[in-house]
Amino acid sequence: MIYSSELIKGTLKTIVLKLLADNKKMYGYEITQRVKELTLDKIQITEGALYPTLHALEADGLVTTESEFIGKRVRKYYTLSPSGKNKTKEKVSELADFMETMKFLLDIKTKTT
Amino acid sequence: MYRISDQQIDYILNDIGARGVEMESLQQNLLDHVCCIIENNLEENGDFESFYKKTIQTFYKDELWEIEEETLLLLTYKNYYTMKKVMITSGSFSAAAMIFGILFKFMHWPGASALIVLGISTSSLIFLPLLFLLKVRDKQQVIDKIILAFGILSGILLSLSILFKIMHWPYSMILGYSAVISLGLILLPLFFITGIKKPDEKINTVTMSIVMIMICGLWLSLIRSPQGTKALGIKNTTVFLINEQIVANERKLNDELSKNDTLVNESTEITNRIIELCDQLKSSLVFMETGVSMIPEDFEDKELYISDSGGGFDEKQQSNIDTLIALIKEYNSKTEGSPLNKILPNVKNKANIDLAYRFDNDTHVEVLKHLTQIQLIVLQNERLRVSK
Repeated sequence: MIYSSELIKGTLKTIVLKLLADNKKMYGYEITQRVKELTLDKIQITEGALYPTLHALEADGLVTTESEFIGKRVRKYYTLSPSGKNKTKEKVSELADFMETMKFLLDIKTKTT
Repeated sequence: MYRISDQQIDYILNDIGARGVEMESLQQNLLDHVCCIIENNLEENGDFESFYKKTIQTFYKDELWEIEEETLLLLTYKNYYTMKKVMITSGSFSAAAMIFGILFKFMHWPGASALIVLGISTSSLIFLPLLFLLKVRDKQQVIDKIILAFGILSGILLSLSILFKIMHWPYSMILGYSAVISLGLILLPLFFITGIKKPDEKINTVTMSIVMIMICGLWLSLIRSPQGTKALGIKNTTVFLINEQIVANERKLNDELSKNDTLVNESTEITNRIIELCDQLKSSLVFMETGVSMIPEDFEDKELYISDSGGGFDEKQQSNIDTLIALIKEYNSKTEGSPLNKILPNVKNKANIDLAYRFDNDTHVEVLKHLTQIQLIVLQNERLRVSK
């Protein structure tokens, strides 16, 4: 099952921030591949969602970029800024809390074995 | 693994640009991304062009530039929710301020004009611009964006012109005419021509166009025509000159009489001070209105008119007015119990008299008349005293 883009939209910022927190510096393609890999293809981030988000994070000062030439093309690496690190913690715990609330709200029983 | 050549990189970059992505950093990101996909997924002797075309199609729904649009949207509207909140808050605030301002005005309670000014300025300087910024996103066609822009602009100009008018600030008529031009000569034709072509919006277009014509018409009926303004200016100026003539004649009479008056009276001094102060104030007000402190006989040829729209005083005028009011009070206390006229009439309701000599909300032409009255009363009093 691939999750709908509506579900991904609200969590994309958090996903990207957390990945950058765990991996120091990453570029766009790498992020999409890592997410795919970690979620066993269940979450596939589209280019149309990823790059606007990365640009917004950069404009907010949460990530910094450095460019590297790969032959004739330029690869942009993204790194968390100090304020980005704080924001990541905030975002992750917010999402965790949100998931708890959703579980309760939608009355989802956690599988017990 | 496929190896991408420099020519192919140029080809991709050109293609991305041709598909409407203009931001350089976004172009570079997409270029690197698509190259990574090709290098990892295309066999060494695969067909580059068809694979590229297939890949780039997975990036978007309808057009590639959607990504750039989304990026710009996020960058511009990262404060979207704050803007929305501010818009609703400022809108509600200005509506409330207007309602209470009007209520206070008709109940004659203090604070009415402050509320009205606050209401109009909040709605025209915060609410309407934010409304434009937030609404313009929803408009797909450029022409619709332009129509919205002129609609909001007309609204802002019209509100500001009314605000400036009631505050007697300058340029209110220029603002008003700009609003009517923007509404009637730009917005209306654009709106009508674009709207009438769409079958489902025909009725709406016609009714809204009628409303716009009526707004312009109502405003233009409310204001004076330029000829009317000129006629009023001539009238105001003529009345002022006649009043000056009367004051001058009164003075001449007094001078004649006082030649034989050897009696030095303490009221003479205060009388002269009041007359002098009124003269100073009058000439500085006339200067504010016309640019000259003495109105010449050929004022019509030189188009030097006292309008009825100007109000407000500069610092020196204000301090002169304060001195004058203090002098009037002193004068009145001296005429207490004497047969002389007080400057302020002896009427029951003192509050109304105080109101009569608070000039802050009066136009200059009104203040000039008041000052003339004051001069005439003290001159007459002098004659009454001397002729006894």
